Amino acid sequence: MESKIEIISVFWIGTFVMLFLAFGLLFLAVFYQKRIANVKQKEAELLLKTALESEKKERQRIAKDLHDSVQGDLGAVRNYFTLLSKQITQKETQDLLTAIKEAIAQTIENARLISYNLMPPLLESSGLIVALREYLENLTKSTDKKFSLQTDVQNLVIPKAINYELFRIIQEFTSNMLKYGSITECKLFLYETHDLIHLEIVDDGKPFDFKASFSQSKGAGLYNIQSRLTSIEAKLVQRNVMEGNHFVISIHKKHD
Amino acid sequence: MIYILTFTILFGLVPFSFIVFDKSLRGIKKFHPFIFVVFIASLYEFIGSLLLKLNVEYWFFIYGILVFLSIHYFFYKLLNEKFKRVFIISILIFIIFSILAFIYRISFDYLTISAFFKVYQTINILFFSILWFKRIFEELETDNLLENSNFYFISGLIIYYCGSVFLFLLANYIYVSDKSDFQNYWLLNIALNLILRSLIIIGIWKARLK
Repeated sequence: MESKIEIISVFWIGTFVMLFLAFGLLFLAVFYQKRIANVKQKEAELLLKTALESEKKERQRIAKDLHDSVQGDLGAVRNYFTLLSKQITQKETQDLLTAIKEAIAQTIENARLISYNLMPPLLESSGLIVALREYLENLTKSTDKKFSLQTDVQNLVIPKAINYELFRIIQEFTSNMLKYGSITECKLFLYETHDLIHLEIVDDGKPFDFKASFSQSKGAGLYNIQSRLTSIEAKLVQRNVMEGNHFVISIHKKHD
Repeated sequence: MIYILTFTILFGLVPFSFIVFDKSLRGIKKFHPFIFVVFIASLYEFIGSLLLKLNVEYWFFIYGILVFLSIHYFFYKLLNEKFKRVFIISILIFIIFSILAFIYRISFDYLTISAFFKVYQTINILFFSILWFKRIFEELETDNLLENSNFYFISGLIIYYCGSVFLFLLANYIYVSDKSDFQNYWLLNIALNLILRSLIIIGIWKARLK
């Protein structure tokens, strides 16, 4: 009898200890792996933020160089040609100088546009809404498509870094529309709710599935949009519409 | 008791039917041999043991060998065919013990032989599982273990073998001391088998979702 009790005790204690060890091992594995995955994700996010920040700084530098150096130098060259044209009386040479001056003026304008697209000065000085309006007006002028922004937000209070990323996202969306979308009109709506800022992008172009195209790795543009959305912790929702595309970007007002 | 036993046995047919009818499950090919062994075991235990009341002694012996080899094949493939020497040594030790057990089978009953298989198998499973976890932590390729089908297969094996090792170690003593009470203890093996087979099904399901 005593021996039976001993056997039963050893059996239950042994079984419980072994099961405890088994579950402990599995729990530890899941817990540790999750911790490692979190660290890995944070590292990836940090890397992405650093990459985007470096890209922004580099864009700022190139835009500044183009504005201060190239545009300035080209302006000086144009002035020299103006002085030179006053000293020349030959008509053929005059015509040639006029053509050169026009070409230089066009190059200055191009440099200004590149500089502007690299880093819109209004984004830093006047904020996202003003910069977006100007950007969309320029797009409407330079293309035969209609771009507009509708908003009743007077004072958009979000960090400059977020402003910049949102502006780049819109730039990427509009570039895609012009390249592949065959649009005639694009409307942007900016509004606020309790703790969120929403930016809706509605176009009448070719419909496409953002998530499907992104998962199939179609184009760097979509990757660019997704990276920027991740870096500012924004949420992108594509709404089902009969025609064209409708995207809503939502972002928290309060940011760390 | 008989209903629970029948249910558990028939439950073992489910994983095999999954891999037969779903061709998309090629990603878990390394676990197919074990699922096949579970399927054969379920069939034999249902038809041979439950219905025809055949002797299970030889079956326990063959089943032990088949399970050992199929689990080793799974871990060998899972660990990318590394640790070849460890696997060979482990199989050699097992073969030597199996031959000895077969030669002296008259001296030892099948419960004692099963106890040897279980203890040795448990040590191997724990060792190879730890190697797999170590690899997962080093490679950092898995985002979530709970979405990994192999994790469920390994969990099932660890829980089943750790939970039943003392039952098999002491089975002979329990059986000798109280034959009538033995089947109550055997319920633990049935419950653990249910957990193992459920986790295999979850693992297969996770592999299907990928």
